[in-house]
Amino acid sequence: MEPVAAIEFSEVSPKRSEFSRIMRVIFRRKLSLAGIIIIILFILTAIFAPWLAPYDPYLMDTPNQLQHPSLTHLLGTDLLGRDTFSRLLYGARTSLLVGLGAVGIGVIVGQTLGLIAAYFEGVASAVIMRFIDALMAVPGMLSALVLASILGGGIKNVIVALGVAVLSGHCRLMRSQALTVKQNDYVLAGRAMGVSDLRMIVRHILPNSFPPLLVLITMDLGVVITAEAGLSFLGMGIAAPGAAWGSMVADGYRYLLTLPVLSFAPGLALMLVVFGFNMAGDGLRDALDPRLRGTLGETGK
Amino acid sequence: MQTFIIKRLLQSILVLFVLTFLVFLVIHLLPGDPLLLYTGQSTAASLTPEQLHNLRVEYGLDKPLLVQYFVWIYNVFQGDMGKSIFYNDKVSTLLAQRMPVTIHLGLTAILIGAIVGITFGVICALRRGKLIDSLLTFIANIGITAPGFWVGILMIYLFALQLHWLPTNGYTSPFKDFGMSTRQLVMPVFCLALFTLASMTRQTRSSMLEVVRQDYVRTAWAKGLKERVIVTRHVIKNGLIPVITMLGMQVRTVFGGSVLIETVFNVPGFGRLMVSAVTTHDYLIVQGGVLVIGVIVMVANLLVDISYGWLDPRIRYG
Repeated sequence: MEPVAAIEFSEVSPKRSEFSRIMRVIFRRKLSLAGIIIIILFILTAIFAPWLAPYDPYLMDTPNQLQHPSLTHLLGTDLLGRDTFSRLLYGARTSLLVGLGAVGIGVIVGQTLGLIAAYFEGVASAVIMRFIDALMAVPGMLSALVLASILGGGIKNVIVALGVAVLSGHCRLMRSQALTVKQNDYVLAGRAMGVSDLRMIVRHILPNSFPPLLVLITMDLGVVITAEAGLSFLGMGIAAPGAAWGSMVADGYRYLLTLPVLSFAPGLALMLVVFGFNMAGDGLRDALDPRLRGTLGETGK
Repeated sequence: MQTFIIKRLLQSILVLFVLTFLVFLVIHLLPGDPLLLYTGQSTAASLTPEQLHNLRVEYGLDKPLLVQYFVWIYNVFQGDMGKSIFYNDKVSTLLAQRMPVTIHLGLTAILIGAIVGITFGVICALRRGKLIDSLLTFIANIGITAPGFWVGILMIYLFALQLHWLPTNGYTSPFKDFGMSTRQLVMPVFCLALFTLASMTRQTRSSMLEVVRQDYVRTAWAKGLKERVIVTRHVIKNGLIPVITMLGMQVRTVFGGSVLIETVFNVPGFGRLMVSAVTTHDYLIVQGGVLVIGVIVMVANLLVDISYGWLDPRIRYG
C-alpha cells in the first residue's frame, strides 16, 4: 500500500504568502514589470539628481543660450543658457515630491473621512459624502487651479491643491470598501466582545479594506504628476527658475520651430513616468482581483 | 422610479449649494480686501478711504458672510453673477459666450471618444489575445498616459508647423465657416478625446470580458445562438453599466482637460476663461464659473443614475 502523502502546512504565514503571490503575478507580466522598473528608475533619478546632473540646473549661461543637443549639453540649453538635461533630472525631484505629498494628503485625509463615514454612518456619513460630492462636481484640474491660485503658487500650495483634488476618490473608495468589510462576522464578533471603535477601525476594518486603495494610490501618483505639470504649464504651479517638467514645456513652447527638444524632452519624461505608474497599477489591480485568481500564472506553471 | 429621480434631484441641489458656498467662502476669505473682487487694484488705489467705505456698503461687504452668500444666490437667480474687472463685462455674458465653444469642443470629443473607444473595447474583448487586441490595448495604454497638452504641442509641431496641414490654433464658429471650424477643431478634439477614448477602450474591454465569462453567455453559446446575437442582446447590454459610469465621469474629465487644451490651442472657451480669471485674480468669474460647471456635471451624473435604473431593474427597486 502506498503511503499517503503527508499534508504539509506552509511554514510561511498566510500574509507573507499572499504578498509573494502578488509579487509573482506582477513579475510574470512584462508590462507591469516594466512599470515597476520605470518607477524605481524614476525614484532613483529624483534622489540622486545632484550627482547625476552634469550642470547646476539654475546656472545661467546666456552666451550659450538655445543650443541644440550636443556632447557638452545632451539636450541643449534653454533661453537663459541652463542645461536642459540637468533641469530634466531635477524636475524628477519636483514631480516625486509633489506626487508623494499630494497623494499623501489624499490618503490621510480622504481615507480617514471614508472610514469615518463608513463606520459611523448616519449624520457623519451624510455630511462627509455631500462635501465629497461637492468636491467631485468640479473637474479636478479646475479645483486644483482655483485652489493653487487662491493659496498662491509654490510647491507647498501645489501639493495642498492637488491633495484636495484627489482626496475625494480615496474617500469614496475607502467608504465603499469599509462598508463591505463591516458586513463580515469578525466585525460583529468584535463588537460583541466590546472592542472599542478606534481599535475596530484601525486594527480590523482598515487593513481589510486597504488593498484596492493601493491600486488607487499607484494610479493617482501618475495623475498628480501629470496635473502638476499641467498647473506649471499654466503658470499656476512651480514656475521658472524652479525645474519642473510642466513649466519647461511651457517655456519651450515659444521655441517650438527652432528648438523643439525644449518642449519634447520634459513631456516625454512625464509620459514615461506616468506609463510606469499606470502599468504597475494595472498589474497590482489584476493581482488583487479575487475573480482572476488562478488565471494569471501565479504558481509558475 | 419616480421617487428615485426626485430623491437624486434634491440631493444634487443640496450638493450645488454646498459647492457654491464652499467656493464663496474660500474666495471671500482670501487674504486682502474683498473690495478688490469688485473694483480691482488700480481703481481702489486711487480712491479716498471714505469713498472706499461707501463702496463697501454698496456691495454689501459690511454684512455677515452668510448674508452676502444668500444675496449672491438671490442675484444669480435673477441672472446677475457680477461684473468682471478685467473684461469689463458681466460675468453671465462672458460665460454665455464662452460656454457654447467648450460644449462644442467637449461634446465632439466625448462622442468620438466614446463611440470609437467602446467599439475598440468590444473588438478587444471578442478577439482577446489576438494581434488586434494587443495593438488596441497598447494604443489605449498610451492614450491614458500621454499628457493632453503635450500631445497638443506635438501635434502643432507636426501637423501645423512642419506639414502645414492644419492651422496652428484658433476657433471659428461652425455656423460662420464650417470648413475652417472643422480644420481648427481636429487637433484640440483629438487631444481632448484621447483620454476618453483610451479609458473607454480599457473599461469596455474589461467589462465585456467579465460578462463573457458569465454562465448565461455560456448557455447562449451552448444553445447555438449566433455570435452577433449573443453580443448585441446579452454582452453589450449587461456590460454597458460600468461603461456608462465611466462615460458620466468623462463630462467632468473633458471639462477639466479643456482648461489645458484651450490654452494650448488658443480656443476662446470656458477653460481658457477660467485660466485667465484665476491669473488676473478675477474671482467673480471663478465663482460663477464653478456654479455653472457644477450644474452641468450634476445633470450629467443624474442622467447616468437614471440610465442605470433603466438598464438594471434591480437598482430601481433596490
